[in-house]
Amino acid sequence: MPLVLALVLLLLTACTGQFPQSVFAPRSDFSSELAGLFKNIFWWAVAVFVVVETLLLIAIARYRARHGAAEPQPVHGHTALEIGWTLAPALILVFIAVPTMRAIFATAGHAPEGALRVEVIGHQWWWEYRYPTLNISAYNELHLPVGTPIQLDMTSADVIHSFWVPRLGGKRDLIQGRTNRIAFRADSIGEYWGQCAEFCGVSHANMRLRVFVQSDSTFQRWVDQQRAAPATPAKGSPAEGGQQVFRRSACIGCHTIAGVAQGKIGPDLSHVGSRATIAGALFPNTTETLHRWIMNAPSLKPGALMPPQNVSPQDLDALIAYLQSLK
Amino acid sequence: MKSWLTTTDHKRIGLLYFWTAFGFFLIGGLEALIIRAQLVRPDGGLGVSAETFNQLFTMHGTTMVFLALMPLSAAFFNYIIPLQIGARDVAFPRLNAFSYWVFLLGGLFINASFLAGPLFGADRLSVAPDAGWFGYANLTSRQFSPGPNVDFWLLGLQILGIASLALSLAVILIQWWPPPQENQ
Repeated sequence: MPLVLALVLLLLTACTGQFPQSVFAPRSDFSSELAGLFKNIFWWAVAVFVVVETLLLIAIARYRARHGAAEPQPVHGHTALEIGWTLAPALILVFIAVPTMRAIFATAGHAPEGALRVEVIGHQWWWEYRYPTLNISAYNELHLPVGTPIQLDMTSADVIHSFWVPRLGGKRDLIQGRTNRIAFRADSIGEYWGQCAEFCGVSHANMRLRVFVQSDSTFQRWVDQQRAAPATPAKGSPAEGGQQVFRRSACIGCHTIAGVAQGKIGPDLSHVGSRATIAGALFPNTTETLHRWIMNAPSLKPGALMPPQNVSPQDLDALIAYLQSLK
Repeated sequence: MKSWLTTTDHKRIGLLYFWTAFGFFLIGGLEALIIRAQLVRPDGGLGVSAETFNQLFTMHGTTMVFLALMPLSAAFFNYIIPLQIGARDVAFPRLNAFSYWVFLLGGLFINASFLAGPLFGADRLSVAPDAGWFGYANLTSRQFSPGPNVDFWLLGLQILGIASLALSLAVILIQWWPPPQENQ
């Protein structure tokens, strides 16, 4: 008995702590629909379980073999019983099927007129977001206005990925050569975590994302910031030296900084200093993580295409100062 | 020993299927054990690399489906069906034996990839399949999986497919072969 208690306590420890990716704390119409459907079906399953197990236990207790007892009466051919146990599951299935079909159509991905459209492009192993109506792009961190219908048009640049932000919506696959859609409306301001949910190669587990749901004014400020030309470092500042390092290093082959470089293989860095995270939302955007990332990206994220950079310590400090100035 | 290698008896072939599948079942279980041990805490309880982890879960899925579950069912219907319907054996006992040995070859072929790295100039011992047991393109294509890993998976499954085909012919045709007049 103490052992059982200890085991139960051990299991209950799983109920503590923070769960940024819990499907049971929905914050959008899409995820509320799914959570509601789950609860609906869960309680039907509980009812079925209780009825079946109760009947089973009664049968075991009442009809067990006893010395001298007569054979129990078989129910074979009992018409009323047979109709009953055929109809009851059929009815339960109707009560499950109707809300399920409704949820499937409600989450099919068609946003109402006037929704904010974002094109999501999956890459091994990072996310690109294009806002065609706002003429901006974002990387790994998706910014959305609260309460506004959102339409995500999703495709992939390489292999199959899957967009999944449990508290907002998904999962839905990103497939090269076709467009899959998700539509939802986030109902509270906050930071929501997500990740790729379709095995996509060696760093699949490191393909994370964040969604920042913001008030209209905060969102507008972010849009204006992303629209602006990247910051020009002040004369003689460390950041200016860093820009020189950037210009003469391999960085320009893969990364874009508007007005400085036009590489297309990696994420655009024009506003990298304004991001909360780096490396596919894997690490916080700090001096220390930038340092480690630039020196040896593949050691932090297996398969990362950016090779270890051969930069002197002074150049690296300047480079990081420059990147951080790109708000 | 020799009699087991050359047997065409459906019961013996059923037993061969059973014990071979059970062996692969243990290998698949060992792979699952390493996967779970690695996941005991974030960032790795065993220090298994990302590449190896992908090989382990790919091989675990492939092994359990194609080398354990399917051949276990083959073991049972090979052993039981002729007894149930009163046939002397399956329709084509030699084809049946052929099926078992091809199955064994396919299973060994896929698992040989764990040791085949040096043959392909890889810098590691294991080049086991690593693109998921479900094998979705484009990840399985040359561009995204350049090593021999996916080739082992594809060829191995083709070999296993020949085994399944041969076995199904040998078993399904029991009721037509041999023709009734010869079956006195």
